[in-house]
Amino acid sequence: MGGGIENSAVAFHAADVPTTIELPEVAPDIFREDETESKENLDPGYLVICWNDPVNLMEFVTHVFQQVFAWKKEKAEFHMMQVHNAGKSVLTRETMERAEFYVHELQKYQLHATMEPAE
Amino acid sequence: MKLVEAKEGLYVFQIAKRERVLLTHVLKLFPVSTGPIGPLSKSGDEAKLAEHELALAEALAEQRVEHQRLMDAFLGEQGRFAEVKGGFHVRLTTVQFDWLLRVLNEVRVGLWVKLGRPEHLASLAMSGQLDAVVAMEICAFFQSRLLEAVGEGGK
Repeated sequence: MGGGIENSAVAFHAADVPTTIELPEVAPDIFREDETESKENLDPGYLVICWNDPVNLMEFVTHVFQQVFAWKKEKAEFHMMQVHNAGKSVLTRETMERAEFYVHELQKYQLHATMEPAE
Repeated sequence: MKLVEAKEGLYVFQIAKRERVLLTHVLKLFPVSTGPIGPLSKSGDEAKLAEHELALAEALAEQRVEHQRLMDAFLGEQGRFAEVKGGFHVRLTTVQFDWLLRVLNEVRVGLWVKLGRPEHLASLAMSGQLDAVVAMEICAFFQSRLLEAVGEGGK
């Protein structure tokens, strides 16, 4: 019996509730900026570059890249080989502060690393 | 020098008596470097980067002081080299392992810089620089053994 009352109530409410709700049309607030930063004006940041030298051991360079950048061995080895074969490798592109941090860390391991303005 | 045991961030290496003498010899050469291995930037604005170059030199100087302190503790610690049959056992935490690699490399690279950054070492061995060249090779030997022993892939 109780179930019948409940069913009636549901049927009553279901009949009153519209299946779709019509919302008033509201236009989004879109403003056109007359002047925006062009891509060229954005800070390009700095490249962290490691340069080849005849003294640092290849396996040590791989170890350092893993330690400083938390890279997997494969990625660290790829960049180490790039340094070895091409004379340098761009390790990352960062803000000035972050690039400086990485150069400090790499030089603390005696790797010849520099930061160069990205073009 | 070979790895005997590695677990829970602790490495135990077996080192022969002669190897211990060689390791101690090169470690006692530290510090060799007096400044950065190179400039902070090759093409940056020198005036803009001047204070940053100074910061790099200061950071490296601070590191040398800290490494010297750790060196004294490392070599002076009772039981650091525990005598076993055929040599010693030396225990290294992961932090000490990384530190030892850095110090060995600092000695190796520092000597190379002092020798004028030569492209090849062989000719120097014949020109009165044998001690430095040998010390560099000893550093490389221990660096290679350390990296090889712990299997970089597993670190």
